[in-house]
Amino acid sequence: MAAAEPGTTQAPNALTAEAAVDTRRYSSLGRWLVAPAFIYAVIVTQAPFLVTLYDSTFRWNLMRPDRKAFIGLENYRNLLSSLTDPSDPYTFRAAIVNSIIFTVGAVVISLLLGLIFAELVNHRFPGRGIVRTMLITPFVVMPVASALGWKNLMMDPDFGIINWVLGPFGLDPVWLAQYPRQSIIIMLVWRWAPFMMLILLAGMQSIDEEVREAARVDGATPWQEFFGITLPHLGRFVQLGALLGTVYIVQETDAIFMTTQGGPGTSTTNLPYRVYETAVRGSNIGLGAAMGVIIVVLTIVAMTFLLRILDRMLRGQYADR
Amino acid sequence: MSNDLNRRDVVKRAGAAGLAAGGLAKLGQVYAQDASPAPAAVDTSISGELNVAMVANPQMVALESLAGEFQAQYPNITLNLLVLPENEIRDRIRTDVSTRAGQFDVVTIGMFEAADYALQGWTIDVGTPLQEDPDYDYADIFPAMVSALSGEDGLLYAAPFYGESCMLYYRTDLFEAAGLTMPEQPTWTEIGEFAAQLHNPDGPYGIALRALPGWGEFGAPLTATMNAFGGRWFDEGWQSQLASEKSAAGITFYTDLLINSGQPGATTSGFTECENLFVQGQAAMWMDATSAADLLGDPELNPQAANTGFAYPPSEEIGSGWLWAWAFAIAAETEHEEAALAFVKWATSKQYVQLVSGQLGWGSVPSGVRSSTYADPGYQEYAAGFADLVLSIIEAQDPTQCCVDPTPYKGLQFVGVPEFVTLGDSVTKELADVIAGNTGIEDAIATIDDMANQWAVENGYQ
Repeated sequence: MAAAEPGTTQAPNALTAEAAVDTRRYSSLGRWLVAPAFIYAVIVTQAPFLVTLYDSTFRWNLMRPDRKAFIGLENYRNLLSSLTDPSDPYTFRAAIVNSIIFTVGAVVISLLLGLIFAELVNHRFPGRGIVRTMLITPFVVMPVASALGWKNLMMDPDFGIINWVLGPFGLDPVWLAQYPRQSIIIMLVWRWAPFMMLILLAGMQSIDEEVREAARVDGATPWQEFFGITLPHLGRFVQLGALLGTVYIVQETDAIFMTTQGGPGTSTTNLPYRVYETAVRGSNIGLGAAMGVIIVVLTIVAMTFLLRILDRMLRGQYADR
Repeated sequence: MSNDLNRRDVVKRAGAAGLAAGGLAKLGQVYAQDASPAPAAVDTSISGELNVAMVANPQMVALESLAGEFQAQYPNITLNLLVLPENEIRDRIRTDVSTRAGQFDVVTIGMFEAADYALQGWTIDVGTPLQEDPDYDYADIFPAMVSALSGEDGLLYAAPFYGESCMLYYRTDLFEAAGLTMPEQPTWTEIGEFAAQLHNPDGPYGIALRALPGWGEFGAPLTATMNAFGGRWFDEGWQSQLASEKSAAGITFYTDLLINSGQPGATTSGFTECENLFVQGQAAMWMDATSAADLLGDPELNPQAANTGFAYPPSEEIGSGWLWAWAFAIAAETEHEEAALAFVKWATSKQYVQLVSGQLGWGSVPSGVRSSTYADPGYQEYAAGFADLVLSIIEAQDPTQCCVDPTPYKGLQFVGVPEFVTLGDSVTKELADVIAGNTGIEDAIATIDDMANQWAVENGYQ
């Protein structure tokens, strides 16, 4: 440690040694400074997880404290074996499938619509500001309010606007009964397409105008400009939109709670709604906790995959500079 | 809904329109001073801070607006009311009480929870002290309410605030136009025939019934109908009876009725949606809770009021039984038992009914609990079309006898065990799929029968 004292070593090496020690000193100081935040993060994220792990080993219905008993991994065994049971007794497989359908469906369609909207408002035209604001509005409407609006103002077979418009064409679908999954996806897309539009619009506006101009000078048509310049440039923005959209849409419960309550059948029960039904409505803490743990594992697998994409994307960005 | 009623009454009487709600409440109090009974004696002997969890329905909101009266009577009690929508407050109350967290001193619970909370020792006996107070007139409360809210030991663990059964609402003009007459006590078979004749695919529909998944939504009228057909959820050994001949007949009747003569999109219709359909003139009949009668009988809230008829809930082998009450229970963890009891007594007393009717009008009165309410000339006048009928329906309910055949559970339109929530939710989801046209009724009945047996095994009943 003596070598670390300034002036005790040879000049050329002194600086680097000093710097190294400084870094070490700072990094240890830094670690201490970060510690409160780190400990806080551990407490608020990992402690509940440990409690969930503990709870999941019990047969425990809040309403029946007399029947609470340690059952080891039985909740997990039941849930995992139910995945291959044709009758799907815990509605767990259906919930996984529905979560995938809602998330993939809503993200893909939102991205496509968002791309169209973004391309639209990226051009100058009179009233562009108003149109842009109107396109963004759905994203800031409270999810519960928008779900109620969709149920009662739009999709209601008696009073709904959609069927009023479709009526003259001889169409009279009962949206939330005949097409429950599609209806939920429509509500999700309505809310998330504006979000995708914002991200993609930011991407489009970061394209150097000179590049576009050069293309136009070379005689590119608007289609060629879109597919040859805009779209390739948007790749990482699409990835970012897909990642964030997935993170949020996979948690969706508002639209389901307000409209279908997970039915008819199990067609709109997704994973978060299933956990709510089990742990909160049904007071079945043990089984609900086990479901939560399995979902965490599935999410970690899916997120590792998605984060790898994000990582590649960020590295690509640095490489540009 | 009755909230709007009161405000409107006040406006009418004050001869003013377009006043803000806050001003209205004040006006109401000023107006009511001469109408309300003499103020009760001030009691300073009881003190403490009371946290009360209440369901945000009109009767409880009316109570919230009258909390000042309670404070005036008990100046040393600090009253904190937490009023939240039903689904939210139920989850919070259940979690709070079952974990003995002690956040609330007084909680609002339904008939579904009362006996079980008592059994677990989460709530305390309120019946004994209430009986001891001659002013409270305990005997005035309907016996069916007392019985349904009592624990297995026969003691009352939750004092009923307001109660309801179910009845059939129908459009007299549509019946007349079709040359039909509604019997005073119709059978489901007759209702099925009426619905088929009156049904117009573009509305009005033959009948509006709930099919929004949930044990307390779709589950209630479905169970009442199934029981009327002689069915039951379980036999004495907790073997599922859903696939038994009579239960299946009741379930099939209900789903067929909705598919053939009911409103489209029924799988998203709960109480509120059905009520809207009926008020908008889109349903010829509707069977649901008696609490809707207040709204349907009011010409200013229901354009069809003059053409609204009231009848007994349909029967088949027996009547469609239905009994519900929101009741105040005292959490066992409370540190202010005396104050809590004072509040429960105040809110469920005869005097409170008079207080509400004087200050807010009869539309806000918690009905369905005390026979004195139905004997009151004021209420008789206000509810001329249905008061006697509701009284006679509620008096006929026996919560211990839901079905033709014996059952191991209590409860008329539900199975009175706490785990029923999950079963009721899954079964109604599956049957909603039948009404949506995605599953056949026979397959669905086989599925729900399996569900019920599996549920019974998992929860230790079988």
